Amino acid sequence: MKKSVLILASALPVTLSADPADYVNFIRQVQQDSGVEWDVTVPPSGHAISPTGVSVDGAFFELWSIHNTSVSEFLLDEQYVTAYTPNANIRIVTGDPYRAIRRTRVDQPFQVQITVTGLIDENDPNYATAPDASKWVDYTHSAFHYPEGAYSFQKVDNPVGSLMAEGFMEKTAKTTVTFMATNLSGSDLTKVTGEEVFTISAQADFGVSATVLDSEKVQIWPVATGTIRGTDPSEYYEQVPPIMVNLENLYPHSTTYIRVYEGPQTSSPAKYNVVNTSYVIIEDSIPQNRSLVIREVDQFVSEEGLHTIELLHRTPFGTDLLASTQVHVDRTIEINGGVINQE
Amino acid sequence: MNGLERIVLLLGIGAGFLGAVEPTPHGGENGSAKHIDVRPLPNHEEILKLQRPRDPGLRGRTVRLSDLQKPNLGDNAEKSAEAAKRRESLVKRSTIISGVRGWTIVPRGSVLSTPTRFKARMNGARKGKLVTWGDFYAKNSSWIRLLPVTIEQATGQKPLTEDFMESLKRTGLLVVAVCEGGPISVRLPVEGEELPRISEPVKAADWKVPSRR
Repeated sequence: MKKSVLILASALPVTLSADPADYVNFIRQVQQDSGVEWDVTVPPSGHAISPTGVSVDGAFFELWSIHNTSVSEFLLDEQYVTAYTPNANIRIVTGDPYRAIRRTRVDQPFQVQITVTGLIDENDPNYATAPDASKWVDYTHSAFHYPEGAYSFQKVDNPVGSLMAEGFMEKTAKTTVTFMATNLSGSDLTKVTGEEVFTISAQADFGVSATVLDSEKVQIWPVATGTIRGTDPSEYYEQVPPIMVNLENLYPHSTTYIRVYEGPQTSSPAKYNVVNTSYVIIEDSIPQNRSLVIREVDQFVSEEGLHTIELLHRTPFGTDLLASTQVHVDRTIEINGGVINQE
Repeated sequence: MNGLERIVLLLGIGAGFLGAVEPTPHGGENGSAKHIDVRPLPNHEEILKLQRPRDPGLRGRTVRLSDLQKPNLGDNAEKSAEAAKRRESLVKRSTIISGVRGWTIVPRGSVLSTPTRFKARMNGARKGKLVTWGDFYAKNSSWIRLLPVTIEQATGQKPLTEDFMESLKRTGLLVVAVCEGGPISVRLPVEGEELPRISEPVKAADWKVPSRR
């Protein structure tokens, strides 16, 4: 029997319209192993220590408020307490430091760290008779797709997802599950969006529904795409024409820009220029699309010859090349004529 | 203007013209040599290779988002029904004790002895208002005797003896078992009925942190 300090608190429901003084409050403790019931009367606000404690099988603590004349009864609260009550904590770690909600991109790894505490172990003298809820917790991993073109379940009533994994954990331990990419499915995985949900729940016991000890989700966003139009690599330009840039599914925390450098495309140009009017900075909660025309590329081309224009997308996961094109610049001016010296 | 002057003029115009089309070395001055590790975009096949293999046994299994927040009730129907009934009413599963100007409730099994003259006050007509056990006892202590019991006695592990129960009847008072001042039900031994299994004490060192469920 656990004689721990158990604080019982009560408070009259504010919704009751009658005078709180007309209500009598009772806390009834019901031991699950022996069936013994014990009463403590409490004022509208207060606390008391349970002298009987709770056993491994647990006890219900019921808070009742009863009207002193009409005998209308209200079960204000009910708690099930055991000497062994599991706790769980789920933490999802992604490459994106955004705190409001865990999020990542389809191709990026993420970790699920699960900490389970309070489970009874096999060496415990009460193991054989202890309730299931004290021995293990359930683990569920499921994946939900957002509707096409949507970035949430806002217009979906109780969405249906796929069960990816289920099992149970029977040790008080820290467990880390690493995923190298999303578990969502689709004909083109670069474009899928949705949520993956991880849940740890306690077993149902004594008529109490199975309780979610912790549940965390991670949002999955697609890979951004982009195009550059307006130049033809086979043509020679005296002046680089305006270019049209179309961007789709820009990561919610990203910077996209154009860089120009001399020569053919290379992974590490010796020197490059960033077109400062091309910056598209996204600080949002969902992916974004943008279309823009950039007229200033020519200002960043100082030399004649072949130049490479690249569309880069910087996210918390690194920098991706969305698109690239080449442009030949020829600023040579040919003057057809002669100089005549006339004496 | 002589020939030499004209040549100088033309050269001057030409030089000026060439200077006008020369692009400003805008980017050149701001050029950067800082290396950026640029990766090509991943494609469908590459992501597919990174994914964890699916459990074939779970293929086609669906789940609703709300179910993850509100799991189903346990499959122990008997216990569920018992709990549901318990939640219906506290008064109905308690013993009512009435005084002259008020009444109260105590757990069933906590009244260990009821003299005949007080039987009408038990589970009978209620007079006045419901009051707490403490208030009720304060006004009716003349005909109620409190019997402090231990948890072992309440659970029946160390049952109250028949002799002791008989001695309670001789008091001529209503006897209510209490633990730490609160009425508590007492399991009395019943012939042919086994005592409930009681969990073994847990050492303080083995206590786990309790939490709300």
